[in-house]
Amino acid sequence: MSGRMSLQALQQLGLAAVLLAVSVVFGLNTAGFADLGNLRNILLDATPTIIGAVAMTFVIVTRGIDLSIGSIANVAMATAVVLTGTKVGVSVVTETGFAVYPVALAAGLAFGLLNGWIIVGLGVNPLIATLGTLTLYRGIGLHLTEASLYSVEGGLLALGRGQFLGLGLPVWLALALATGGGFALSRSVVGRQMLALGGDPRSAVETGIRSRRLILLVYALTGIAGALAGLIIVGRVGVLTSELGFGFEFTVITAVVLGGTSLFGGRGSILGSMLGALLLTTIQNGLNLIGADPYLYDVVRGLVLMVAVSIDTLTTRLSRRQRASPV
Amino acid sequence: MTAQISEPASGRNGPKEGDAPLLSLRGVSKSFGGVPVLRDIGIEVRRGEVVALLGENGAGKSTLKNILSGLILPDGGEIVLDGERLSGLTAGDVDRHGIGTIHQELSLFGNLSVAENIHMPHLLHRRGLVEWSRLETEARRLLRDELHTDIDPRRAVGDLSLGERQMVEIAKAMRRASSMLILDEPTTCLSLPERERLFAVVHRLRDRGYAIIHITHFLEEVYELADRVLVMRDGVVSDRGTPAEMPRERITRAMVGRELEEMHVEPQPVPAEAPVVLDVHGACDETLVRDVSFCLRAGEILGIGGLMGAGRSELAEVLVGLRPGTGEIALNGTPFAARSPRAAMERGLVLVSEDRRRDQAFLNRSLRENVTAPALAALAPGAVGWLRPRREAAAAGDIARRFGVQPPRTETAMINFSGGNQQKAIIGRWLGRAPKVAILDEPTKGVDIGARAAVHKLVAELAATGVAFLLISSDIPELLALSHRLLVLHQGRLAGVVERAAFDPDRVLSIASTGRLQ
Repeated sequence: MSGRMSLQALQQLGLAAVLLAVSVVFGLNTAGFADLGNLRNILLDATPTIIGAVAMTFVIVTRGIDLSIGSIANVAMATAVVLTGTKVGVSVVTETGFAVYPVALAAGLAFGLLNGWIIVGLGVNPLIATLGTLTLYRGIGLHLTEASLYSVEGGLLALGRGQFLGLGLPVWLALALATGGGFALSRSVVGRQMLALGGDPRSAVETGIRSRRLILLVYALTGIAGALAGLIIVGRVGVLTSELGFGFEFTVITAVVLGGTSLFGGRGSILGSMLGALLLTTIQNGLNLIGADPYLYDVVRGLVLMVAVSIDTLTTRLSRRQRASPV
Repeated sequence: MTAQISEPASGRNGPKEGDAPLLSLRGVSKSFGGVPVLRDIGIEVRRGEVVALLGENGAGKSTLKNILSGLILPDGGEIVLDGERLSGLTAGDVDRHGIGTIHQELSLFGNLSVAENIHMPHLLHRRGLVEWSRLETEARRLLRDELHTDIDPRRAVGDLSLGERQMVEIAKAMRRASSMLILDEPTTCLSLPERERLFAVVHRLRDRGYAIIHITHFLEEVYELADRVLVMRDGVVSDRGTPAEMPRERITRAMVGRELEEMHVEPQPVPAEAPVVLDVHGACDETLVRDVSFCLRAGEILGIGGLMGAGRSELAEVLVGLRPGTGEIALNGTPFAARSPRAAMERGLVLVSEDRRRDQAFLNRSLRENVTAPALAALAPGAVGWLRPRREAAAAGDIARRFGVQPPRTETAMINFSGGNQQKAIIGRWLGRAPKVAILDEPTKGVDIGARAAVHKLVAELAATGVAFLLISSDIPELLALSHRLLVLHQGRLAGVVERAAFDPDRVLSIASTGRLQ
């Protein structure tokens, strides 16, 4: 355990250092970046990604991937707003109550379980299965909202705009989920079984690990996380658009891989995923403040993912080579 | 949840007549895709006895093991386990009754610690959180007290040597076993001391009243360990008895189903004037091959022995350029410096690698394409290089017949041939091209006795025509039967060279496990 842990710790330390360096560079060169208000904003902006990345870490350590997490955010919110909201007159304004929360989470869970079933029940490769549901779920969402814009009022805003001890409610929620997730992955029996499954699926079967159940569970987690991310995003901006969750899977997966979780499975860190999410949000915020071309952000995001994946491949190869040496 | 190796309710010593068997199978059957793999299996295993289970590949041993380990359910029949009637064992039944299995391919997780591996999936926990210290204490106790090894339970399994991993696998099975232990060919990659430690454990557990099923293809182990012998062939139990009642010939006959004419292949002596065709000086790679030197003459069969992980396959890969490495290598007297598989082939050096199904066979393509794949340039002459199907089929059919591929139908997809015939086809692909030097890596792994004999005969015949062979094998009798000389590798180094006159299985195994010539 020792050798691997130190490699992972090293990667997290490096990531934290990069995060610090990026912050210092923006802080020195960009007016308004280091304001307390902006820093709070970065934290708040990062929360959907952090929550998504915590759940995605579990999926990726089992050798899976969930490309549909952004579409789940969209379809879960569409379901919840359309089912529980009441239109005010003929305007686009929709009044929501607190029922929107359980309905969105239940929808997220259901769509996540459907992903899991396609993967374990039908035996479809996770990449292809969730590539399919990426489009399917978004389509259902568009159908439900008829691709129109919903301006929401009422209960749905409570989470996104709520404050507690000077920080937004979503920040506390994300912190709590990341802490719980971190413990679950590194110290719980189920978390260790997931790491085992990702490390060697054949051994997992021979050992009597209930692989199918674990896989269903991790996709249920990304389903719920997608819905939560949707609740936070819509709750903050007060608008449900057909664009909700577009590209979210990319940000989330980049954050996870950046954090040192291996796409080859069996190795992962929730703390790393959180740092990855913060780094991506900080870069976006800084580029925003210096008035960079918004399309530049995609270039940066793409480059960051390529760097992260290359590091993953290199460290995996390195650890395999070390292990291959005799005695 | 407890991790004690619990003593069975009544500590018995040795099997007693009249005891109810711990496990009995009646009429158990299993088919895969309509092909029966097990038919009407009836066996009994008592507490305090070691039952050896023998059989060729494909006899159904693995399927039976998987049924007893709760990995697959039988189609029919009845299993009575400790008085409980069941139609099949689930993972839950296996846990409840305390059946532990040592899997041949090891059921370990390289990314987790030794302690976690031993306890998986039932990690000791308090309110769902793993209790690392208890996990490690238990694991250390098992490794030290039962297996007499001092592997640190906190190390990652991926960092352990193969022998150490094997020990962890045994500890893992012991952690789960409270009544029965199944060993699936556990000794293939163990060194001598490790093997002895395992056998000591087996004896101790038997004396404590465990029932033990030992699956093996080493006949010596049967006489060393077993109280009873079961032999399987074609999905049925073909013979059974005590080791005393079953001499080698009877067991072999039950495995093969006919008298195996003693196929004694004796390689013809290498002519004194035979030229050196392969001269290797100081071959190294980054980690696994260290400073190996030897030379090989035309018509010579040079065996390469050693434990798993000794660097045998890696050496072969360095020689043909599949693996980066250093050292001076000369082929037919001229240096072979810019090494690549293609350059090697052009200069008459071919490698038939160990995992043919994965590395070399195109399973969903025809036998013809599999056989002619490396020879297409020769079959398609001219500037453009159009293939001439008839000519290609004729060439493929010729090789298939020469190498005894049955049936020699060139258009049948490779996957429809048996393992042994796939083997012969791939060997034919390389040897049919008249190489000067051929490296065979485990040429008879996973093939039946008949195909094995055919491969041996082929190798001896080709050697007599002047082809030089490097024969890598874990099968010591095979090495001793075929080789003129034997190189033994230990941890990447050349530990010893044994001449045919001095061949002795124990000596080879001893050099392979200690690295010292004694």
